[in-house]
Amino acid sequence: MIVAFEIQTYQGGNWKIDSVYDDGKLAEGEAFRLQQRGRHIAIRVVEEKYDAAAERSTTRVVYKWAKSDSANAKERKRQVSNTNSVRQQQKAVSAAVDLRKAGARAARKKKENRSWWVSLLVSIGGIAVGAGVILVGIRFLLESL
Amino acid sequence: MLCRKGYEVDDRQQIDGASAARSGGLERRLVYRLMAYWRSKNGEDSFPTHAAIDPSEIAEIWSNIMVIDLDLDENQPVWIFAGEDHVKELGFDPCGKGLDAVPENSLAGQATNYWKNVRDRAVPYSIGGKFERFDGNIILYRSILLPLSDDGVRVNKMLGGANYRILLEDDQG
Repeated sequence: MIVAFEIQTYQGGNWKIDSVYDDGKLAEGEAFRLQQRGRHIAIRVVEEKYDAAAERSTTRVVYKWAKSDSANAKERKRQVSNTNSVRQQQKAVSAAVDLRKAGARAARKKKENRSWWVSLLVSIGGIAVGAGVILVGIRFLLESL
Repeated sequence: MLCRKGYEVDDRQQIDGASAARSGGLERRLVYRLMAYWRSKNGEDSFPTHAAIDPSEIAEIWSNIMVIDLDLDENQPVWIFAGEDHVKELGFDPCGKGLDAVPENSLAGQATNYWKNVRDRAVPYSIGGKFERFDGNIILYRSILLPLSDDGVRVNKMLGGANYRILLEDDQG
């Protein structure tokens, strides 16, 4: 079994062989170094196995990197950060609203309590005045008889 | 023929490949270092020229370096430079001789025997492995061959590098 590792770079719409190794770790290390140079938009390491007895070869990608991957990852991180920030702001706003509602409720309740006492006093006063008028009326009738 | 002329570097900057390899990791480091150097001389869509290779810029690995020419002999590549480590290992300087002047069971022989792949595909190759050297030692090595081109298109020379360590019996188990 012959095994080779090809570093391939994406150029002009095609994968182009950059270099060939018989050691996968070495190839991945070099692919990483190449990625750090930042000249390519995508890099991959393809493992090629050739079975001479069966005259058959198989390939598989063992390492892949694309500039867009890291850009997407950054964008995802930014979006998550933004979402968290928006959620925090929403929480703060709803907490403030709740606080305000509670304050308004308390004020309303206080007002309601006060108006209840006023109504009671007015009612009692009204009843007392009414009773006084009736009593004066009765006395007036009794005296005129 | 350039041979050693123009390839002089300050000896103090060089390190002995075999002893450095024993410290571990150098096998891959040599490949990374030479690859990075080659890339630094590389154009957008062309290969570095032989003239662009400056020994003083890679003095620390220069003793492991080799350069072969594909045009001097139509039958086989010709050595135009072999670093000190290769000369020491072989017991002679192969400069000016064909690749077949170097025994296949030597580091220099192993490190150049895939030159046709580099020529045909025009990309760097790095090959390593284990072999029994002419002196009976089992050698673990790592090598790299990189295409050079004087016109920027056709590969007509190759820059190589190789280092090794002798496998002890304990390692071989």
